[in-house]
Amino acid sequence: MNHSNRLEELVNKYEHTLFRAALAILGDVQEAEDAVQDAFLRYLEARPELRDGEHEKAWLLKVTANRCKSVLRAWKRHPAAELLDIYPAPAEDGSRELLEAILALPPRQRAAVHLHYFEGYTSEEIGAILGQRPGTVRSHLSRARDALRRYLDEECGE
Amino acid sequence: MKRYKKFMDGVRASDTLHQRLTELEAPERRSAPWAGYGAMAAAFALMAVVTSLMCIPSWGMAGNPGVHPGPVSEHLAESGAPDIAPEDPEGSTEPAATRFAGRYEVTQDGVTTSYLLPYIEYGAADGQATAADWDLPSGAVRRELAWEDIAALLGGEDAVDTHLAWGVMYSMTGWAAWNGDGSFWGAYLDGIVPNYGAELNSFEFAVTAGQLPPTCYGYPESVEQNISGVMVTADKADWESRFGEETASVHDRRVSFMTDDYGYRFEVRSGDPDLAEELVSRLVRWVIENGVAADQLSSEGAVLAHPWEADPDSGVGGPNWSDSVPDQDISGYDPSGSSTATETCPDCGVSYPAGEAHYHTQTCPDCGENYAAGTAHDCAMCDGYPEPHTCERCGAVYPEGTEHECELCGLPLASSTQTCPKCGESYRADHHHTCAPDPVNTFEGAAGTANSHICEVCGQTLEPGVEHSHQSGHRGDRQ
Repeated sequence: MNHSNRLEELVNKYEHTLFRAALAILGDVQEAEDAVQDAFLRYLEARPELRDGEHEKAWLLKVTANRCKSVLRAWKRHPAAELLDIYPAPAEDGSRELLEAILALPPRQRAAVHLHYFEGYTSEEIGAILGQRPGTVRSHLSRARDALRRYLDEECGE
Repeated sequence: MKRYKKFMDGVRASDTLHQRLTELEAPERRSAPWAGYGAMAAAFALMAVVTSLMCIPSWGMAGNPGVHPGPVSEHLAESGAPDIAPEDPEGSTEPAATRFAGRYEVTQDGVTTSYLLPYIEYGAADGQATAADWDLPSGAVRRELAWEDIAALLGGEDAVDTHLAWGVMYSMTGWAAWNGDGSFWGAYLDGIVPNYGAELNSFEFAVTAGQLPPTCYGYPESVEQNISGVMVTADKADWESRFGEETASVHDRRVSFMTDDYGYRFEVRSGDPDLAEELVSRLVRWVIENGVAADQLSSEGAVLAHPWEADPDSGVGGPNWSDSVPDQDISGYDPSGSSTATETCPDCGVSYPAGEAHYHTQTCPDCGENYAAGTAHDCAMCDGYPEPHTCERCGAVYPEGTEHECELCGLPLASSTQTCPKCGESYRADHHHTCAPDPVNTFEGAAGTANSHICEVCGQTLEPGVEHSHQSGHRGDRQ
């Protein structure tokens, strides 16, 4: 299989996964798209020999997360209101509060929440992807759950 | 989380992004950066490979290190304005812009930029070396650096790969340290070409805040020169070294300089002197123009550089210079290490020698980063994002930076907050407020006449400067 076909296969397989992860971390569509593009670019450059699809996916997620970290470092004081404005509109009523709550989390917690609850990774796997210790990931998840619970209790009485 | 999953299921990469991705092409430069620089860089890369191969004793190529047509040794006269202007080390009045060690080109988005490399005069490092011991300061914490950290410190991956030309050849490791107060102390990076040995293909880069990086040796014959207003000290050493049954030339080039409150030292060791000097010139040019981004490094995960400081009672492995402090009263000294010789930190519970400074770190609950207690913490990943904040005065919980203008804590008040007109305390509107008037009175004429004051408790009119209290321990100096 030549590189062009291989790239197309990878894009079809992982573009949505990477985009969701980048969007969950950054909350910015344009930056998320750039992060995904950068991840595939890095893949083309490095052409890593990975054992299977799962490793491929984890490698791409790791590169995407690293790119997101760089963006966040540059932002630092990006106002949260803009994140909400440019985030895609929720598909149904009631989701808005949850998304607001998730976007109100620090990016590291958002990343952990997305990779755990949406992608189904364990804390060890998330640690490997985000470059954190598993205990740190568990701490982020715990704090995120507390914050979401508190936020939703106050906002929605859930 | 079902709603989150459902929502995220509906999030799709746009068609535009899909098209961008499928049209991606592997950039030649990133995988083989030298190849994209044109003939000069290609020749340079070939030179590096040939030099590296010479390090393998069994290949028997040592002894001919001079066969490399690289442009590094050429001193080019550029007609365009240089991006960096080295001055003549001999103090000549000749325009300094004519002294260059070569150049390199970077092509981005179809635009090729040429960067001129400063010529550096190296003094001989074969004089009497000055040896010195150094150590991290007490209370410092340090951690190993990942590739991302190294790239962030130096201005990004492009800086490392393209401008410094490290990423192509070198495998890098490093560490950074922070002072006990959380400020950046410095970072040391090591690069080595895998499989070829440190003596022929390696570098060490060090940056420290406010001082030149400590080193174990210095040479009196170093040459100091002005490069773009920065005094750069440089020295070199060349010698023959045996690798198995073969002998090869080793060339060491070293510079140190201070700029923008940071001190730098960079040392390259290579089988090719031109390669070493080009790498040094690249670094000098880059750092003088761009500096380093020490604030991009987080001390998260850093541990005490001197582990014995966490347990001074152990008496093992600690530095010994503090044992010989002169004129110290040792009458109460107990060699058994009893409690009279130590104090316990009320914050962290760690015992430390009485009378000595004690530092410790605390962990940010939001990002998990360690930092010196009592210092401001710059949360690298979550700073600036809304954090739940509880007003200590009124108890309101609200995202930091949103509407809550509590007069007492200086933060914006929540809309549901009231301020007691009598005692000035703010409280939640749905909370019962028991006014506890402060019995302290001032004498600055707040209520009565311009020179008198009416006590809010007893209603008595007080003359200025007259002490007035209702209970023992009453203070008359309300702030």
